[in-house]
Amino acid sequence: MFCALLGSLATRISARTSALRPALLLAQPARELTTRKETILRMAKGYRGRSKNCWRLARQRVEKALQYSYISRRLKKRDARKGWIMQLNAGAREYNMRYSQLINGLTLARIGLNRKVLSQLAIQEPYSFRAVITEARGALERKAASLGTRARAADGAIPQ
Amino acid sequence: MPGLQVWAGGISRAVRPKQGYVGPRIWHLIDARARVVGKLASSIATLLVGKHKPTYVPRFDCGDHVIVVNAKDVVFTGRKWEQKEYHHHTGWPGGLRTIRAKDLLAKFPERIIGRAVRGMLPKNLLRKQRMMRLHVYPEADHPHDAQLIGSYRAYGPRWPLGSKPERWCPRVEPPVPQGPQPLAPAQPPTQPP
Repeated sequence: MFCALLGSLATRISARTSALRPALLLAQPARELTTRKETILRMAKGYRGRSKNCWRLARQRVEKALQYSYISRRLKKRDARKGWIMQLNAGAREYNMRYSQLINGLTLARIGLNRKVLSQLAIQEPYSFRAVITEARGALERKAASLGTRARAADGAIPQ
Repeated sequence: MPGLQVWAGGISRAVRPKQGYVGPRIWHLIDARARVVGKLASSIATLLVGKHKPTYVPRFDCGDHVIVVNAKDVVFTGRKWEQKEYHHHTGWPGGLRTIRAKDLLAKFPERIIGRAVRGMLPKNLLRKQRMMRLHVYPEADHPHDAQLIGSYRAYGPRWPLGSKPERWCPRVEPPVPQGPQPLAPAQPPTQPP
């Protein structure tokens, strides 16, 4: 699977090059042919120690690096969401609400803004964010009133 | 729509702070009288890290300054003044030094708060910078009047139970220097009847 990946990579590189520079390809056909070993050694450029030169080490390090980058492409989404939630929690606590209460209120108010947009509102658009907080708090209060209880998130007054 | 920033499009379009962004720092003034050490320290750690701000980014040092006064009047629950021990090692053989909380308070009153906060901060390279923004004083006075000229937040005895500042101190204009003032005329000592 690894070799097939690299093979397709080499094909794509040469295909893109030939599409961009057909005249050059005709003039120097041998330069465009890359072996699997050349592709891997090219990817190992800048590695530390012998990993950038020796075939055996370069193959191991490149394979591990591709595994890391595969994992990190997925972790990137999770870490970004974690960061938005931390910022959103801080923004909600300025209005005496917790993050969970805010999300609950937004769900009840049928507001579909995602966490990225909400955190950007909290940072850059304080008036819009306060409007969102007000909507969420109102939805929580309506829910609590229908149940005959008191909304805990409605304790604090909204600072102007 | 012109002028409206488009945020749609996954995390690549998310607005990110630039490298080295710290944001505005504000000052917090905390009276430590009759505060339980651990509860106070966790709240201080939040302020030092900056996790109370919507602009918080974990990899940047975006926290605030915290002044703690009356640090000698903090309290421990239970019998911790007698039982709690602080250890450090000098690095030499047999160099383990131990001091009881009661003795540490008598010797270095500000270190009770300082060690508790330090232990609650994330153990990374930013910890030293964050600790530098914690200013603990055993008595009620502190040398930071110049820093508190702008707006700052002061916390009374109820914080951190409500987890909010007791009052938001508005901006105080610095006193305008008037030049040398004429000396008040000496009052004649009042004669006892």
